[in-house]
Amino acid sequence: MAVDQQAVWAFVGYLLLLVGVGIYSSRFSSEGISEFFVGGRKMNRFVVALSAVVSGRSAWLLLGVTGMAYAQGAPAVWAVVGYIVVELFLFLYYARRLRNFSEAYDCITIPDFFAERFNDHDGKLRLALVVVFLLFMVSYVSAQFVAGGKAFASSFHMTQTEGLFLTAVIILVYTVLGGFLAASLTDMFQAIFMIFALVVIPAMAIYEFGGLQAVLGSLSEINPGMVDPLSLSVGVLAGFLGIGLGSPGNPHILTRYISIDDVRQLKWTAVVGTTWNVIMGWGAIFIGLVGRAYFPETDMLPGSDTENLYPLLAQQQLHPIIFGIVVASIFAAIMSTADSQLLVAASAVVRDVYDRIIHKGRELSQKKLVLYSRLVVFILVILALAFSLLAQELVFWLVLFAWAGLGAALGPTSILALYWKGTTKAGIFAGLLTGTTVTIVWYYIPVLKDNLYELIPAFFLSLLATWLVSLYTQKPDNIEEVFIELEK
Amino acid sequence: MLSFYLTMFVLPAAIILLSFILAANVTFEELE
Repeated sequence: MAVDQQAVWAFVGYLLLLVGVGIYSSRFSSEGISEFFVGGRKMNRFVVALSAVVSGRSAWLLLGVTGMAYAQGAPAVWAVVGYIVVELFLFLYYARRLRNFSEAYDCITIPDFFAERFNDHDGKLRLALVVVFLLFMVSYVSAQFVAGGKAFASSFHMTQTEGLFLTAVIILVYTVLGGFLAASLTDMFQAIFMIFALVVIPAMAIYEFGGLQAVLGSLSEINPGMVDPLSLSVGVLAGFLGIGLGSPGNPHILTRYISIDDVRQLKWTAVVGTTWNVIMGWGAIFIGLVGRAYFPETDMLPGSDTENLYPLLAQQQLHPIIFGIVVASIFAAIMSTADSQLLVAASAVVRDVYDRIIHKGRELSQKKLVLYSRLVVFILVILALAFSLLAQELVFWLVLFAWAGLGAALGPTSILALYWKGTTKAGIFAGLLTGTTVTIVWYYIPVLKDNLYELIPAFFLSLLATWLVSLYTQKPDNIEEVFIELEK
Repeated sequence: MLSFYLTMFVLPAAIILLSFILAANVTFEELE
């Protein structure tokens, strides 16, 4: 796809803005490990609302959902309904308990939360969580790098490998310098870019096509099911809605809830976050629908790949400078997810393994911990980069497990840990193991996978395993005290 | 076609409205 110089400069301007935010945030983030990983729990409600919703939406929303709506039409809308509704409830109920508990027990990571909640003195639970995190997060970040490489290759006359390196370097610079504050502030800019692109492109494209009626008429001619949101099977509908079950288990989203400065502001973040999620989700669906009207045959798209619809439509509809911003919005989606995941993975190494397991929480210099955190982010970027260069196909294969695996392992266990006094440490181990195993086994049995998305059975079986094992094992001694903090 | 308009326009508006209603009904008085 050819682009002119104006688009390139608009994009470069955006990248400089990101690096600027990294430098701006670096002084604050250098103060201590809590500042580096959760912004010192001082994040403004607007920043938390936007960063919680955009960290969860990777390039999947801009490229994947638009492509899905292009291929399937209006039924694809259910893929966005599930997670939007789940995240509304997370903001209002789950987030509040997690935030209260983390402040009372000085938790800055999700393993911290589990370790404090279940008196994990020997560090076994913490270690199990760190292993799950690192496995899924490094693969997840690698996939974001690969997506960045592809987007650079299709937009700016670059090879995919060059694009991959460039994506990694940009993310590395502002995440190492600025930590969580930089990741959250850039998320906010990125949320604004994404919403702009997801509203302006479909609106302009529908207008130029002759209005919504013309678009719908054209889609009906291709296939009447394209304009009927209910023309899908129960299994597919459940699979689409079930995507939302992943949200309470993905630590890069949950860390946002820990970071808010005042727990009462969560009401406000619920409304702003949901509104943002709705506009982004439905915008992506409309792009897919109008895109199909413009390009009725898949072979009209570059490489016959439905995931190329979004940049193609943008290039066709928009002024080159605005197109540069749209390309930036793809990177915004990739980067806002990758930076958050890198921080979660680095916090698992420095906070959970080094600080809490090796040094058993003895007083360590905050400056030293921040330095180590930066080094670990650097090493993780190198690892993810190597992984993405060596095994691009494998990376995408692993990512399918990342959202489902984390969602099934951590979602049910964290919900029960927050809401049920009877939950035990052994129950959590059972839930983690069941969630991860069922996700993988289900994925490998075609007859199961073809009928239902693996996250749904894995989530509910993990919930059942946690509950059953908890019934027959010993509760923590301080459970009443813990629930006083949780229920505040 | 009615289902299209309901799902594409009424449903998103209803979800945003639901967020307002739920947020207005969550109380944090213990902290206030």
